[in-house]
Amino acid sequence: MRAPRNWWVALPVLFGLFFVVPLLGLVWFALTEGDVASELRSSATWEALRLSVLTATLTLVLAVLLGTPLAYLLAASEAGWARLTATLLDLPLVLPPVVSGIALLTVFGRRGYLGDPLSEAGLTLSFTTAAVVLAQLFVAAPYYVRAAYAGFAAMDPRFEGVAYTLGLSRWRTFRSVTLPLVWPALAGGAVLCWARALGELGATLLFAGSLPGRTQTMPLAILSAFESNAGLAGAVSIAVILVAFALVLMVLLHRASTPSGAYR
Amino acid sequence: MVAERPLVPITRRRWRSGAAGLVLLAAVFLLLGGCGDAHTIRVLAASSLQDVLPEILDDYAEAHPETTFQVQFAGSQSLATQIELGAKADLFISANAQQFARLEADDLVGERTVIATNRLVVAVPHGSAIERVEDLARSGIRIAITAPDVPAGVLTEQALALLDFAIAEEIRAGVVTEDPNVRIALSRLELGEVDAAFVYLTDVEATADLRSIDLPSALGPNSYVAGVLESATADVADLLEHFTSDAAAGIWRAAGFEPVEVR
Amino acid sequence: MSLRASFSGHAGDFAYDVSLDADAELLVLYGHSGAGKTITLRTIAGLARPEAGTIEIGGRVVFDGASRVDEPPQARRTGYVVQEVALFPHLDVERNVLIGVEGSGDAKARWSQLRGALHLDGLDARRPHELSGGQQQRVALARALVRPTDVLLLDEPFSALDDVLRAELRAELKRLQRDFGIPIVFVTHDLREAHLLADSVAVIDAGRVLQLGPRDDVFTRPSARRVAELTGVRNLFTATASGDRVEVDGLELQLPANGTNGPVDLGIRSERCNLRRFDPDEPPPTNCFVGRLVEDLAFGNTHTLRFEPDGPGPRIEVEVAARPYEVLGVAERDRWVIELPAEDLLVMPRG
Repeated sequence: MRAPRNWWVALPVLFGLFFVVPLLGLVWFALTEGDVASELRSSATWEALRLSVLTATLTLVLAVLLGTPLAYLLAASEAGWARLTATLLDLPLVLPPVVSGIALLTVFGRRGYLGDPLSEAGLTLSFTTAAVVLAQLFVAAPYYVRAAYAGFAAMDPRFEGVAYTLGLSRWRTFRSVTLPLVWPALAGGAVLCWARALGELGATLLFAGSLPGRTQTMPLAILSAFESNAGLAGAVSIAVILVAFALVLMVLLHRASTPSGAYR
Repeated sequence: MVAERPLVPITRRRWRSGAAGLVLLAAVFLLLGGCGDAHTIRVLAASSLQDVLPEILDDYAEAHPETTFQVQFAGSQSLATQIELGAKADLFISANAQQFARLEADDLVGERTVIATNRLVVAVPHGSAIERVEDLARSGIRIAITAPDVPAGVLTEQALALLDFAIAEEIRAGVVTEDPNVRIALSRLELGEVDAAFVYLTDVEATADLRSIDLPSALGPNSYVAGVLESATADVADLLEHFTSDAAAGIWRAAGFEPVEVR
Repeated sequence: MSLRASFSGHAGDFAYDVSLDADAELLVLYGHSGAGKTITLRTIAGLARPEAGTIEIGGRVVFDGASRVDEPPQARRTGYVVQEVALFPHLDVERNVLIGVEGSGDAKARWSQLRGALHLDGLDARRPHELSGGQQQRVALARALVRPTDVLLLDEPFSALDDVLRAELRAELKRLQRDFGIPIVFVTHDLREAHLLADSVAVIDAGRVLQLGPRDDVFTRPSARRVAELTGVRNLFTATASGDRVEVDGLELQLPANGTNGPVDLGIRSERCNLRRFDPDEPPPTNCFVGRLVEDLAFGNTHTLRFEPDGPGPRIEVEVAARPYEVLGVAERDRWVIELPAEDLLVMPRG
């Protein structure tokens, strides 16, 4: 598709700049007013970054492992329950993250509805790194499931049918026919999920708490810096490190998710 | 013969009254928009004053009925940052001198006035088995404190430094979260997610089913420091006096603060 | 190898009740769009489950509603080529064809044979989007044939192709059918294609198979008016039969033999009617009547003529080839004698 070249192209371009310019402003501010260098040397910052990457990646892995079968089932089923579940899965997207955090507490917290059974099993979830993953999973997994669901639903069911008649088992069909066809949708959803998990703040704070090294992810570290004497400059310095890191990964992931070959 | 009055077309008349109406409306809006209305006082106050300050302001308003207040509560360190970034208000009340000093350094605030003091305590549920600070060192106890730069967090550090080193280490091991403000720490305690929280005495007084455990007395109280901001447009001298008056003293005490009386 | 299927069910609001029977032959499943051809193939292949019935492929029962036998598509050994071809877009030709049978030496050998027979040499590394429509069709066919199959189900596999390609592929198909000795169910809504390919024909309409039999039987002896309609008989009348005669619109016609008495549906194909010059002095002989030409549609190598009866007889359509049209001088005359030969009359019980 060839892009148009009329005067009104200016509008979309301006809108695009709306996203680029503040990011550039952030970087400039950090470099001139902040102390990025000292933050880069600070082990606390790297600790927070390591924690963020670890938890976000774990969240993604769980979302993919558990969410893919769910999305497939939802897309394959025509029953009413499927549509209802799909709608419910969208709820964490609409809920303020803080509310999500409270929701998780009411069930998995020490005094939550599942609190007693869990502690009897020796599992205390809140204030652990696992809790961070749980909070991130709650808010970010729906992004993946939606994308996967859309991908599976958009696929022509005839391909799977033909594969079955060719003698391919369900699993082989899924691996060799379905997945390659919906791969771009899944990859796109994975990127969104990972990004959302990385940036999660409210639910994590409420459910997992904020303790350096154990639960203080990058966003919480940035918040903590903002609230501290270092103020805005301190927060921005850390933020820029996160932005740079995320940017590099986004580019790499994006490359991997665009379809290769022209079977559009 | 009566001189005929020149007939003014209806449209012209309507236009005139319409224009007059618009001017009136504009005037009203400008007045309401009130940037720098002398009768509205904007206050930025530490979040631990959330319950007591409105009462004191109401008391003041009875004597000064033309005054209205716009109050914003947040962590003192957060407010200081916002003021540094250009937030405009008339009065700043910080929960400790440290945050106040940040603004003094940049000449953003005027003279200090201490208006009340508070104490840091350990809050536990009413039926808790924890009786003394040392009990916090037991294993399995989960404690919520505030972040190091939050005024309450600064006090917490000072308190721990006053304890026996081994006990302090055990207590630190039981800390599960460093929250951005006291409210969050408190709600964790209320929800039963933690067993104890380092909060203010006034927070314990304000919440049902909690009791307080004293910290070493060598830990001084923290003072609430008020000052007029450089961006102030309203006159707050009377208000500042009111904070340290007898009438206000009763309200401070009832909430658990220690009033400061100016002789 | 044989296929015996008899099943019924619903697909949404559409009700179907189908019976098919085929030995090692090419059975054309013929009908209009929406008649139930695709659901029939899908059911035999195992991609749709009927509510009741049995399906037997190669002597093996793959579905039995009563005894709860329902083999999955993987186990039915059907070669199913769908109308939309459905080659896997992310695999090249070779991987498409050999998917599922990569380890089989037999399959690879078959592919070598088929590659040549279907003119697919040199295309192994191409992706589906790099192939022409006809090439894609042939790859889909090869894909179904490289693995052991007991029945071939082809759903309008040539519908999007030009005539030359179609003729070529038809010949291939006949050859393959002889070589492999399995029943082929070929779905089409093209009458000419049905004629060219079929050993047997099953005429399907509104979810039911109206007639199943050898090709010539179905075309020359339709069992009901609807079958005649669907198979291109454009002259259909209500008539009354008695003994070896039948009366239609006041005209009495001779039948070749005694048949049913009473109300019947009578038909005759346009191309089976004869045209004779009208001679006002001679009365029309048996099975003839006079008509006036009211419409003359030229189709290049044939003419479709429409007549109004001049006296007793029905409105009729007659198809005349170019040469006879010229010789008879159809364009110059108005009145004609139309003959409906007894042996071409189709008498069907009124449904």
